[in-house]
Amino acid sequence: MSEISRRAALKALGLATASAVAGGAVATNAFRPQEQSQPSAATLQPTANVSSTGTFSPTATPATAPAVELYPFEGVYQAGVITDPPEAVLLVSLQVLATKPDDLVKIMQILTARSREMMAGQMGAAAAEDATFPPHNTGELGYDPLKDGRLSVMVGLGSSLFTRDGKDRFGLASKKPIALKPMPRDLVGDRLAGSTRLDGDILLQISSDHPLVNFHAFRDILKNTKGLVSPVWVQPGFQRYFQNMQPGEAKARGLLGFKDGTANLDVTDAELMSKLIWTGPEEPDWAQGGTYVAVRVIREQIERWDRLNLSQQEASIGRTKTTGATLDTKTETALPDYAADPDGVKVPLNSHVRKANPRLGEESDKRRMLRRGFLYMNGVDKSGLLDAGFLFQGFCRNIEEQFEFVKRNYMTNRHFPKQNTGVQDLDEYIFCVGGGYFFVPAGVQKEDRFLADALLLG
Amino acid sequence: MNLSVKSIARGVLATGLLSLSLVACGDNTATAPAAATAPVVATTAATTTGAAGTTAAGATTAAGTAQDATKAIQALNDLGKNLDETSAALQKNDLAAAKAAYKKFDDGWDDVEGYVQQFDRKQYQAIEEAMTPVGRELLRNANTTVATVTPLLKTLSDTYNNTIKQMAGTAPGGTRSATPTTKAAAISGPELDAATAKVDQYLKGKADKLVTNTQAFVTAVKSKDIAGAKAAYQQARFNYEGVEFLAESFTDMDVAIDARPDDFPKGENDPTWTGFHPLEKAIWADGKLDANTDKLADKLIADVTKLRDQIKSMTINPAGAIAGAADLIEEIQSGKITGEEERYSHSDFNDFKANLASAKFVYQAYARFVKQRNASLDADVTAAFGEIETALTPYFSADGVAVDYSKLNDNARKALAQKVEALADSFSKVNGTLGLNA
Ligand code: HEM
Repeated sequence: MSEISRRAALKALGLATASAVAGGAVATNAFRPQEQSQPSAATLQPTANVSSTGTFSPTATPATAPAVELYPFEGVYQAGVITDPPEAVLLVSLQVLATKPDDLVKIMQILTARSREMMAGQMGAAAAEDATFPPHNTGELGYDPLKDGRLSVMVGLGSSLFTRDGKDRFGLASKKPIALKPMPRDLVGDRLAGSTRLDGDILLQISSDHPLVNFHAFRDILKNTKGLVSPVWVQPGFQRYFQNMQPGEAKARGLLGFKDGTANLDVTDAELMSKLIWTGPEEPDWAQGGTYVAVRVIREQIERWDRLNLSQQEASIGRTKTTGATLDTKTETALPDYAADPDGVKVPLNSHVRKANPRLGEESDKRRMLRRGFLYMNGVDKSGLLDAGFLFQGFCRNIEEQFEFVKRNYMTNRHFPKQNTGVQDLDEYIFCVGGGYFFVPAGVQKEDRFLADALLLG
Repeated sequence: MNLSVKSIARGVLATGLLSLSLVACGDNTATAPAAATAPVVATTAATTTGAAGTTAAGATTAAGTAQDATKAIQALNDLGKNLDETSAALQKNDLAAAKAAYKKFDDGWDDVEGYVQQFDRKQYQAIEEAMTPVGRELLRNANTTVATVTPLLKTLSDTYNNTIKQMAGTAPGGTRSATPTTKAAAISGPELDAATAKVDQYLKGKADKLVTNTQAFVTAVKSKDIAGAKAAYQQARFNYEGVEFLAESFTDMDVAIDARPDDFPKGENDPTWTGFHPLEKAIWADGKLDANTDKLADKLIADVTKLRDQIKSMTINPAGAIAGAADLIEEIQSGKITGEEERYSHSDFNDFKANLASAKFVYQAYARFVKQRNASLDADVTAAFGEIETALTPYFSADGVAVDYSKLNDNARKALAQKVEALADSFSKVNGTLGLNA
């Protein structure tokens, strides 16, 4: 399809005008649409006022407004991977109902157009309403464009979009990303039997600073894709970020109470991102500059955890609960020295941090992934116990070599790092109940292009 | 129970049971007498191989802080001399000297505060809080007076010295994150030893019964007697569940005997899945006993016998036994969150009862010590055990056979779960009340 006809296709869907308007809105919001957003400056600035006592009250630091209010839709990479995570997420798994390749094009065009417009703050269709039709704008966010909220809609593709039950559904099988496959069912400790939150043809990671904004975006997308897709499972999540943390310090805590993100990858390190996150020449042309994501819905036994001694909790994670320091160091940012502690006397061999990253030099460095987790709470289960946990998202350049390798060969390998070390201790209190593997294509860089167009039209 | 369930056990047993047992499980049973009341005796764990690997978590707390603590106390003592000097100067009305001495303390604190932080965060906060007004007066208020500073300094000195004392008190084993401000002294004495001996005997007796009952089960399986195997299964399981927390300290044994299929890459079809549950599946789900189940049965009795021998060589101590009992109570709940543990026989009630019986026995052995220190906690725990027992009664037939757990309706399931929660909650305070840390 030529550039022109692609535009025509958009027009036919009545979406092009809207997105053009949205583009204008973006510009007035004063950020540079060509550059993928960086984490907000505010959160990376070292602060002067962290005193020796400050360690205990990172929450006390006054929150400052994030420097970025809206994330640009256009960029080398899709927003939602290295952009600073906002406070709320909606993970949506979609099934493609359509059967024709053209319909797939249509779906991606709609997702592109709606995301482009909504990320710019234009939450209802910008086109004028006609009183004789159902309104475009569902209205629950009002009629003024949003000026903040950092909405992003990240789109991932499941392996079932390429092949399902051995069938090449849309003639795309030969273009499948090299490491894309359904999430394995044999990962030790997972409790996936009967799970209703597994896999999907398309993943939407809708995230913003407010659950209602996420819900609106989801509702809008569904409304505009009737007959083409249907939602299979949906899981909301949340997180609260501390502001003004020092570089290298975690900005959040998980439901187990521990700092989360300390040893995460530095997303401002472009070289590191290219090495570990963004796909390169190993992939088919269309799939370069993308990434994989392992989504894991991980139930935590909160009540049980809360009854553990503090020292048991810390031994399980391998870090100190208050400070976030590994058990062999005193500060959060100090690096553990596992070589000096071969028997795990300080940082237990089966602790989460040691099992997730044994720090063996290049051999384990190349396995690292970018974590972008949210928390969830779905009320209580049949027994009246909290149905809550962690929505883990691990982004990797190669999902088998990174996420899956770590999971199989380190975390649940009973004989790693030593004979009879056992699986990671944390698995006593958590287990995976759902999720999926997805490929996240590169970003949309021009107004006349759409998500995964290189796959569908190329 | 699930394969990974070894964790509490690790935290617990390394310090409690296993550290001692390791000596024993190595070769013979001539274990050194248990330093029964020492909360932590972990030096052996770190140096022993095999099962010791699984105990790292628990050992950490112990051995890791042992050296640290000595170093820390030394450093804190040295720094504390500046406080003494400050105080002496104040007594002489020499504010300038007091300022100088306190400045040295203030500067030096940065280097040692990490130790206190690691030891106990409350204590750390208390010192920091006490330092604030002293610093304000002595270092920043030019017009301060001896009368103003003296009581402030006294508070600081007391808090500081108290911390050192507590760190010294726990130094041999160390409890990195306990809260010594409220920590009760560890109980000890011949009465406690007698109670522990009773627990020891009880658990080892269970291990013997486990072998006897498993033998009966295995015999039924091998004679392809499905009805007989069904009947024998519950009894064997009952004894296993009663000593499960001990088995968990030998990860490999527990995996061999009690793993669920989820814990193996190929699930139910995994050839390395052994123990009770593949046989449970053969009996209830497949209704078929064959050459393969013969093999499984032979391995099961061999593993159970080995486990019995290992258990017999363990030396039980109170902190470990109590933490193990807490783990048994948690077990009632955790396996049931998704699906049933006894997913083919649905005999989960039988497991509950076994978990509960052992936990209760352990508790009762130590109940009077708890009562001496916190009568209302003892009342809560005792009542909670009673509540659950009453709640369980309707789920057993007159001859003691458990009804099918999968038939439990949601209300009943919830009612039971909430009773277990209440018990687990009270129980989680028992060790601390006795001044023990597992
Ligand atoms: C409920 C589930 C989980 C919880 C509560 C959890 C919690 C934590 C915590 C508290 C840390 C230490 C702070 C930090 O560096 O961020 C951490 C680190 C880490 N986690 Fe997790 N995590 C969970 C699941 C996972 C999963 C599924 C993976 C991937 C397979 C994973 C991989 C990692 C890695 C790679 C690190 C950094 C280790 C290092 O480099 O030192 N985590 N996690």
